[in-house]
Amino acid sequence: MKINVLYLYYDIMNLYGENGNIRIMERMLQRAGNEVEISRKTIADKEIDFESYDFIYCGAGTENSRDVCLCHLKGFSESLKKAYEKGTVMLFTGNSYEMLGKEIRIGEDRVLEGLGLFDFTVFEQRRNRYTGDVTMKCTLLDGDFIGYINKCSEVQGISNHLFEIESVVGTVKDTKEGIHEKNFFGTQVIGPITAKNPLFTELLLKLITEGK
Amino acid sequence: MKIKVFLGVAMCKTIRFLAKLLGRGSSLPGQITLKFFPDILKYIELPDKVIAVTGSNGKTSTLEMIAHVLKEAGLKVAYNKEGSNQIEGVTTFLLCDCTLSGKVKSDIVIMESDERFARHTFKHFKPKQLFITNLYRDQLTRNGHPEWVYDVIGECIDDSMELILNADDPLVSKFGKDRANVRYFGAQRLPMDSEENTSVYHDGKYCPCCKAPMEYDYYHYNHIGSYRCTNCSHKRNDTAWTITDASLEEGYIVVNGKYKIELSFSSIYHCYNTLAAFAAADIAGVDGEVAAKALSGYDLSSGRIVKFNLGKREGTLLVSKHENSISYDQSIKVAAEDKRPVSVMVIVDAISRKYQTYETSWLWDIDFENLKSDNIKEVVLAGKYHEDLKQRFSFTDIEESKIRNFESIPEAVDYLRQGEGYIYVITCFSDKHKFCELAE
Repeated sequence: MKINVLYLYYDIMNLYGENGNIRIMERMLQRAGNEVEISRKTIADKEIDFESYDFIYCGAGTENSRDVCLCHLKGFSESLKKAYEKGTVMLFTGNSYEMLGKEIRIGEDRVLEGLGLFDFTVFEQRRNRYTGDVTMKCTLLDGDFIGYINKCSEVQGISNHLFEIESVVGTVKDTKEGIHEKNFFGTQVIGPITAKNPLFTELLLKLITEGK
Repeated sequence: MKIKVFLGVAMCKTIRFLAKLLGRGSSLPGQITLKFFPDILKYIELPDKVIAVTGSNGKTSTLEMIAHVLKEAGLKVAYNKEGSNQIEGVTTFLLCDCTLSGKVKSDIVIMESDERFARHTFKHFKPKQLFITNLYRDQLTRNGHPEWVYDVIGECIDDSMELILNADDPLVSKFGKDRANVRYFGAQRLPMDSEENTSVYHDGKYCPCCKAPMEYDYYHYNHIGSYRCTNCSHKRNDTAWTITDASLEEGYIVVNGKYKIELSFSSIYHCYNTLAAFAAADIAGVDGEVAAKALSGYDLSSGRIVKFNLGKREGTLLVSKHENSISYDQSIKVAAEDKRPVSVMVIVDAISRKYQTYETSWLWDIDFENLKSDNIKEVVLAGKYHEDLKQRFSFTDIEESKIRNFESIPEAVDYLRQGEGYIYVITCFSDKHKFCELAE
């Protein structure tokens, strides 16, 4: 079957090897016998129909880049919400999932309104960074999930965390991480997570093809 | 105050002497002295000329070349020659060059500063000139990302310093926006430029000031080139020191239309470092002819390029930086552009020698696709991360039959001994010795 993939903000939310995720997903979907079409959309695009995709991926960016994307994404709020409600599989990594909460509080005096898809609040200080290699557990996976976090924010108000952090090499302080609601997967982990975590990639593939 | 300076200088010199006997590094004396006299650098008397260099890549090479030119011109130079580029190392070399009354003896002080720690190093004194070479995706484990590094470098800059910026790097030149005390260095359009950015990613696609799309006239490499923002006033500025002509094949650059400098090693990186060294020499008052002569053919001693033999095969090891895709891209270009039949070996065994990390995301930002070139007969992947490399290479169009991977570096080297043709080894400081001890 034909799978339509949206690679959102491919040229600006690409902090560190995020391109690997879309390359891996394309290959794995093809190997499973699907025809794959990838649409690359970015902040210059005026038309994006989120409901027309089977899988949506957005990667991490710098804080300034995320702010610009948030501003752009607000124009597509309804379309994105409808896609989420109908169960489209979405993967937002790094700070990209922060756009979908209630608000982002930057330092003492700046507040950016989020898309309101979820009820969490982001507290960002842009001064100290929390980085590290993490090993995490997820009830959906029969094995560990490994990755790399590089952030300067804290997310509060998530009830369904995606991961429990088991060990950290670095300065990351959290014990729980990410968000999982319906078929939406958000994690602060950046980079090509699908390359490092075949079990997670298989889970995504299964959800994408079943949803079709 | 005089007592404090006297004690600080004496202490640093004594510890340095003892540390040398014990074979210890050059940051320890400064580190201990700073424990007792945290603001000692405020009280030492610096010469009129103090030049600092920071940025992601090229600091050590640039500094070494500046030092070489200045010494050739007969100046007495103090600098962090051992590459200790945080406040402790800077304190060590400055205090060790002082009289006991706290006066730096050399005519000129030059130093490289770690980009993250410039705000600490330059808290108690400011260099007259600060060179910023480039800001790339580099060691994100420590450095967050380039825009974050931009912000932390910004904390050490005040109006008294003259900034000497790479005009061709859009993020670096943002430091000069709406600023008076600034000059630029860069390359004008060169024969090897390209009009398209073909790298895996393009960090100059959006303006670092306002995030509107940027337009490029040409690219020297990656996102380094001539750009202008389609929205705000940010653009490549005119340069005071310019590479007006260059040939990597013949190995030379021409600075400001009249100074020809032969390159001991043909890489665009080396061109920029050489240009920055020329600019620093000019600022220090060295005549252009003298500087060009001193820089011509200068061979870096810092071991970034190592020639070796492997049985009857010859090769070059190109020291690149793990966690720094642009440095890999440059090395790959050197191998791909060699006209001879070559084998390329990539070693990723320990990602860093300074801190613990298993992070390999950066492999996906490297343009390994460029190794699909007729002259490249074989690619050998080695080290602890050979599987990660293999996975990444499976997304290039390079035929599988050309790629061999080995976990063991000695086995990979033995394998290479049997073959034919020139060899390029691409790896980092952290893994370089593992190859060198096996080669002749």
